[in-house]
Amino acid sequence: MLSVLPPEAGLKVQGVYHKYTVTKDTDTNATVSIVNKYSVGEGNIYERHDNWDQIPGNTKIGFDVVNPSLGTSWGAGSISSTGDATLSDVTIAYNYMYDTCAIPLTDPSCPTYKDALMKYLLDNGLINGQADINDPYYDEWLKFQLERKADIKEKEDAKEEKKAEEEKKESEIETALAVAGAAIEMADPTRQMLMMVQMASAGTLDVYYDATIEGGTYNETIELTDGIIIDNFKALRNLAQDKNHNIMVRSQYDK
Amino acid sequence: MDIKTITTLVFLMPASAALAVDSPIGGTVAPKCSVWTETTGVYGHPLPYKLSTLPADGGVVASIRVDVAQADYYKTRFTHPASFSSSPTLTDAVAWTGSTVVGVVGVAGMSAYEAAKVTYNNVTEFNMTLAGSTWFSVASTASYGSTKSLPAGNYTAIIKAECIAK
Repeated sequence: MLSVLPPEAGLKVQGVYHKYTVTKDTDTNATVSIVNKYSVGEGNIYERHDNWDQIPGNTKIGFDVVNPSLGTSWGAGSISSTGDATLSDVTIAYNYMYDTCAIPLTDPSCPTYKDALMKYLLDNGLINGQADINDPYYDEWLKFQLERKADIKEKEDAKEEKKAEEEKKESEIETALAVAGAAIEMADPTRQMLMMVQMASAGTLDVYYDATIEGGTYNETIELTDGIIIDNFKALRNLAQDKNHNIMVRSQYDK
Repeated sequence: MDIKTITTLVFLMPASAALAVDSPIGGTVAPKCSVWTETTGVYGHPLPYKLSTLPADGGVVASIRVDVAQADYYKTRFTHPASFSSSPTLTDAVAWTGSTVVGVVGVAGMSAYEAAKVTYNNVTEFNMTLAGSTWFSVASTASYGSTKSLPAGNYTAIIKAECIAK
């Protein structure tokens, strides 16, 4: 059967098709048997026996659905007739399905591909080791290592970011506490005096304390030429508007 | 007294409504016998007056498959043609012959259908005693006006294949 079925792993036979012509006389007996042995051990994995007793020969077509079983468990097959009959035009065909993920490493889209790759890397000491360029899964190993590095870096970055955030938070709390402390200090009259002394001692107020105003008479410098002061209507209008505005604002509190 | 009467009515009304309910029962009958044309027949033209589906005459015999899901509940009836469904105008009589035989079988026992078939006129009946698929071959021959040449054109004839409940 191995020469009949493709060698791919995971191949499962799920049906057997047959077509044959039996030539015989109506009044004779015959049985046609189609059999497949187990590849290992005794017994038949598939068998069909067609009874042609006392009926004319003919061409027969049939398809038997079987419980899916691995192709490797199907042994040698045969078709034979017993009794007075001859067989001709025989066709036996096996219907099978192929599980593309029987070896998960063959296809990255297989659901267990990652597990299988990890197992392969573990079994061959490639998790922390260097793969040979001729290794059939060198590309996968390279990809794995790159992903691993990226993963580690990502974790480190996240850790650092978290640490920085914690430090920043701590600093903000300290600053807040420091300002609060200063406010208390500033409210204390004794401390205020001390601060003033410190500021004065630094010379920052010296300019004002040391300024000298000379005595004497300071005459008016502005002169009215015609003795008339014209009302500033613009300023008055503004004042009127201000008044109206104030009335409007106050009116909302009068209710 | 009035209150009692009203109370009785209240209890009786729902009971009387439930006495008349039409409760439908649904169901679908799936066909257990089906007929399929696997190979369409073709007339060969071996002689000027003759049309024949026999391979020896250059024709193709029609192959009709009958699938029976339940054994011994059906018979199949094949009526080979006795007239053209479409053809050029014919001015003379056409002599028809035909036959239906069991072709390939899905179960060895179906091979016995051939010996048990009933034939009358241009009709052949088979008793479908076994479940499974049976292929029937239907042949047809038409001879025009003894030996008169058939007019040129397209000829079509119909095989009637039926699955009849016994």
